[in-house]
Amino acid sequence: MSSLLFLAGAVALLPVAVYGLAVRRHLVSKLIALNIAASAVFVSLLAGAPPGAEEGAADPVPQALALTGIVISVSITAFALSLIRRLIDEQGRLDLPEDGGME
Amino acid sequence: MDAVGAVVDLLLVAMTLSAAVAAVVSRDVFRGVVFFIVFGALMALIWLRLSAPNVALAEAAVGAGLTGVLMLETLGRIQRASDVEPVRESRPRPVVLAGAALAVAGLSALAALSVLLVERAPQGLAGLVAQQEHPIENPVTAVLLDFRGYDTLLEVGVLLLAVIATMGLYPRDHPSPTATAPLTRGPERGLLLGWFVRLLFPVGVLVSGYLWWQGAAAPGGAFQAGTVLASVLVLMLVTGILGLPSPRRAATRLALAAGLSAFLAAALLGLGLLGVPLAYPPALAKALILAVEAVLTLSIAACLAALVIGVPPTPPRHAADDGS
Amino acid sequence: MVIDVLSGALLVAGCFFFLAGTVGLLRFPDVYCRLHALTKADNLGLQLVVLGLALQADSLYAAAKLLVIWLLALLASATIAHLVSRLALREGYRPWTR
Repeated sequence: MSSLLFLAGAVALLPVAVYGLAVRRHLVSKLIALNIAASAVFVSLLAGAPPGAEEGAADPVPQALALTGIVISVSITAFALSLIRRLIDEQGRLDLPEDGGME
Repeated sequence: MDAVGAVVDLLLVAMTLSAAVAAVVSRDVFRGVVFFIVFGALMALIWLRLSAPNVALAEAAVGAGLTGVLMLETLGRIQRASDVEPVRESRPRPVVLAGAALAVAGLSALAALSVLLVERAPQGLAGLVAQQEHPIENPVTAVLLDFRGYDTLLEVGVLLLAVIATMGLYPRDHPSPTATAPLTRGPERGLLLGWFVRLLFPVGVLVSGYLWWQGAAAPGGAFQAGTVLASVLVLMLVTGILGLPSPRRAATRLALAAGLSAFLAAALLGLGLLGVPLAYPPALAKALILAVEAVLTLSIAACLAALVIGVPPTPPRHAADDGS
Repeated sequence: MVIDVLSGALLVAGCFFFLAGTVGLLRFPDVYCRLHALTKADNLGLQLVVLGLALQADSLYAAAKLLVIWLLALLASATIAHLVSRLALREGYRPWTR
């Protein structure tokens, strides 16, 4: 039963992340929202899985997938942050132009 | 026991949701990052409640710790940069917001429901994994390094790629202080921090080695060990006890790329000996996996430390030379 | 049975200290008072929690590992409190006086 609760929690986290990605203009806030979305997906991977072979451990394959996902999202976050730093130096701004062109 | 567990889980989910909302909604981005770190710590507890201690270790170290440090460091650079325009946030109408939230929640609930309704094997894949006789007792390490070795190989490649891409972003012709100044404390270095870091370094190496060794039989493994080593490495580099390595030196490049190379070498060994890449000969399996994990630990530590500190830009060799 | 009750009491006492530290963090007037509340209450709170858990540990080895965790947290919080308060002084935050 509790895995259903965690699955519901992961489902509830996704609108929060989409709000951050779509509405917030600050790029670091968007990055935070992206990380939250990734965590929600990993939780739903494990919460939706049937119980493992023994009582005390979860299914090892989704665990391995979640581990891989966590390392990849930290790589993406690090690269995105260095892109943000270059943006600050080149244009002095922390958000992207909204009208699709050069503001 | 079940009722108490259910209450704990409900509280945990409620706190995690609140932390996530606060992280995303805060106007002050520093406040948002702090709440994101809190969110990461609560996620580690959720992983424990889901009986996934390996993932809990990785989430606490990498997800909350390292990502939080990266974001805080960028915020610090933003503060020190001289001319950054403040961001003007817009507010969409509440009706639009509520409609969008409902739509997203509805869609994801549908996806979750479809996953739950699909007929599943009663033991998932754990039964299949348990049936394979493997010298590594920790099933997650066995899955990571053996059964789904390709995923891990590519994941290490992605980490190295992030480091290379970050280095590739450094401009050659004009200075870019916010992007390229490495993270150091500068000339003023307190006595207490220096001694604390000197005390912590051997402890960190010991904990990292323990996690690597235990990863074969208990929760642990290369990534968790690599992150612990990365954090003590970052401390040593920031306080200036260890000099900043230049990316032109072969030793730096070797440290960054050794993990991927070792993994590739193991894959080629399998190809040569058994005709299938990443197949381990049964007599050597445990030793080979532990050896690859050891090199992976060092390499992951170097890559993560490089991502946090920033690799110092390489000056051109000659004045007329503006390529590398 | 006695060990369980003792464990429970130590855990509850530790959580009480964490609660006190959090109230201090929210209510105290300046950085230095808040640091004081955090480090004092959380170190003692962590010590009580670790003692309560160590009583439940499977072996002496596991209990010793828990104590090492507590020692490391103690060292880290002391160093961090020193660094934060020194930076605050240098940045010009005067301590709150009545």
